[in-house]
Amino acid sequence: MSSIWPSRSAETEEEGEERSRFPKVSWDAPLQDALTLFLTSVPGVLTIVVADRNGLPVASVSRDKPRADLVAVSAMAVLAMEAGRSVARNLQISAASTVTVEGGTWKVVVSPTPTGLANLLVMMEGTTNLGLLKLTLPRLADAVERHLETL
Amino acid sequence: MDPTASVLESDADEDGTALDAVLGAFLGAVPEATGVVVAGATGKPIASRLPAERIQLIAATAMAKLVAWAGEAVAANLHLSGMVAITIDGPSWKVIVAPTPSHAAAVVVTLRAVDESLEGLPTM
Repeated sequence: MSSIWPSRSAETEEEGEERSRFPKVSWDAPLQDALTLFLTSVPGVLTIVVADRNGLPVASVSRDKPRADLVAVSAMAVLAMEAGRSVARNLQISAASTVTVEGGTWKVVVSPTPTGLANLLVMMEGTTNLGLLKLTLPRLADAVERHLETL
Repeated sequence: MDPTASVLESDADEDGTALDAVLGAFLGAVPEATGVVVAGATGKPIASRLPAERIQLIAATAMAKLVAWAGEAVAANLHLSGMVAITIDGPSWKVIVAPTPSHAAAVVVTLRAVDESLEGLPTM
């Protein structure tokens, strides 16, 4: 297994100069810890991104060095989640809880936190324990929301 | 969605067409499926077989096409190829949006929960 690379937040990437005038946020470490725990406890998970309700990435961890533009990924994933909710609404069925984008050997799961404060993006490749993911993802969503509410 | 709904309705103009027959055969072959819609390139419904309920069909297919587009964008930005479907999960239902091979249209299938014993567990 490769090393785990926490990525910088979008805010850091886009407003690095402005941010350098402010002290480093203290919530970053516990949030990264929760993401890293999830990454290491669910086999097959490659990347986790936390995106805010506008689709901007807040935090992420990856087994390998991120090879993707996470700003674009999280924006499109949150759009997919919102459109999925709208599909359910227009079909007069109850609220959608997750949207899963599937390929032959990969999956990307998008799931909102309980109050919709943020969205979790989980990218998986190869054999993934989906049952374990089902059980663990809500716990991660709770932990992420707790961290974000302290901001 | 009422899984016991037996009344099916389809676009009036599509009755008797080959596509309508395909949708009927699909519903007959997949017991968990409660409805199926084909959305065209612009997101408008081409043919549908859904339970007779107060659904907003045009809005649903337009949003389903947007889901498919956003899903493909997610995959492209992650350098993943070969997206086959997007699944929208609810507490006791699923909606699968699958683009056709040429991506000229998308098939939207509504399903009730396959494994009733899993109801109550967190969905994904």
